[in-house]
Amino acid sequence: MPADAQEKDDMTPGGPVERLRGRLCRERVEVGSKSERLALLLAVAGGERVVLRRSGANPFRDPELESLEGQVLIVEGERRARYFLVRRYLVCNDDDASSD
Amino acid sequence: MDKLVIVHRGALRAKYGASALAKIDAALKALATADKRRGIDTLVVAVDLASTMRPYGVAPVPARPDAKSLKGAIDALAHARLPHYFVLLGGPDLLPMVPLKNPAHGGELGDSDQRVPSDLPYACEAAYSTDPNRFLGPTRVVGRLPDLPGAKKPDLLLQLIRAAARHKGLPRDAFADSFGLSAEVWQASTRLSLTNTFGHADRLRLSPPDGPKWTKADLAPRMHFINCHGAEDMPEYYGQRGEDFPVSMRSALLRDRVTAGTVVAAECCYGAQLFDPALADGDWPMALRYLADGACAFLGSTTVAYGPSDGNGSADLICQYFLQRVLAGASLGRALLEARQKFAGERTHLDPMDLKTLGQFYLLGDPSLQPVAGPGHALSRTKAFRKAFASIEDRGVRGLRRERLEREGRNLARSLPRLLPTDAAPAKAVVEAVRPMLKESGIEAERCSPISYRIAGAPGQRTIHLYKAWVGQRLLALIATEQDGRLLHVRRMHAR
Repeated sequence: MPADAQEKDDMTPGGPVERLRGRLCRERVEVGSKSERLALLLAVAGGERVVLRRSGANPFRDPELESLEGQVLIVEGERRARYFLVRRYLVCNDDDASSD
Repeated sequence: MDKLVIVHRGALRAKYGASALAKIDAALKALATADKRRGIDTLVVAVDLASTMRPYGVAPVPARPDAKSLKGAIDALAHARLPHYFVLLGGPDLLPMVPLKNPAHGGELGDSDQRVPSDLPYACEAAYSTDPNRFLGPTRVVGRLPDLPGAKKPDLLLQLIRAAARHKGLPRDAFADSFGLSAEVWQASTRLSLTNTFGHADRLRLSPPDGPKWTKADLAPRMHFINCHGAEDMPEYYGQRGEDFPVSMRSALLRDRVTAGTVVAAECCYGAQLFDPALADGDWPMALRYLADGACAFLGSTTVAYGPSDGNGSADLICQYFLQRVLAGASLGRALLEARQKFAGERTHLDPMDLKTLGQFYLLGDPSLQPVAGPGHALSRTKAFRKAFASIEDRGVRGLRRERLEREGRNLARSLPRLLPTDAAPAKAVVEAVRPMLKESGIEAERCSPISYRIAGAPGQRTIHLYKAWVGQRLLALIATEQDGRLLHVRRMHAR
């Protein structure tokens, strides 16, 4: 998988396939609502923080991704209105993380 | 005319094709015949046909339907025909919802929904707007018979129209049992909701540990009250214990388990969101699976919803009011109208979360259906009474009820204050009074700047200041109401 910060190609039911690269973090989102939770976010270049949801995983708790908190990932999937649906991901070495 | 079924023939034809449209026409004709037997005169109105809309003095809804045009059409029809029921035929891709601005969006207290797709404006007399403050006084009975987003065949829509035609009310006893499901962390709130609605919470199910594989016997009761988490584009609801969020209900697991005529109220975030199953690996939205499996009504939210963990508020209230009115014998649509009016009317003003709640909950189901058939009073069962009111009884009495509901809605629209964001800082007296309360609550006042709203329409100068901070692992909010420079009221809320 290429390590570009952002690329688009192909189409899925949810839109074009997109790749993002950034550092994985967890933050409380939807504060005060019935969806309040510690969500997984990808902090990408430029300061944008994108809520991640892994396809097929529980949107509130995803131990697989949570175990990678703090690491730099390249994620591939679909950008939807309020989250990024991760179809595939790749863990990068910190040394490669020039854009996070 | 008692009931108007709003259709966009062009959108239906574009989505399903001409032959499918003929089947839908036939199903609607059968529904009108069934309605006639129930004392309801039904008219199907193609709002995209110029010839249909010309007598009402409005332009037809364009080929690509938009909410503003649809709202204009519905307003004109309401004015000319004074219908007792509006049925919106199809999901939002056929008849769009109004994209209200989310009053709870933005700022530290905001949520991620910039817009709240809403059917509430169609139930209000105010002209089209995306400002939720314009729609505080609903007067109309509105419901939506949905179809499946992304579908190529109108199978679900046809099924739901035919089910509405077949529907028969049942005695109150048939609704004596309920299925109550709650995230474990919200059980105190849910117990209160169930007790308020059904008189007890004896059979409340909690997640964890229960679900998502419910048996037919579990789901057999005809009243369902669900207070769980939900997520956008997800065919599941979730429980919660601490930081564990297990699946509590999965739409695919509802198949062949729902009793015909079930009425559902779901508080969950996105609990009634209609999404293309392709976005969820082919699984249907929960609301549509419930309806496809036999439920006659689903009340739920399009977006992120609000409610406290212990007491009742926001989503808890509108859901329980709806079920209470259904149990009292109201039609589904009237139950929602009365729930909305009660929810809005029992407050001096709506805070941002309540304003969002009012707009985001909507009814999926034919609003004219009456799940709980009333026994009627003794005189109404006599031969002489039936003869005297053979043709007008239902319509006449219903008309009296609509008259009262219209008056109530107009009063709310006229009298409920509007909530407007303001940069005005709290008055000195308020700051001095609130600071020790913040300190007592564990909040550092210096690091906590409030979000403020002016209450337009309230007597004098009234402002709400919302202070929020994390205390330990819990979000704490202090809501201070300022009146003419003085502290009028303070409320402390704990978020879950």
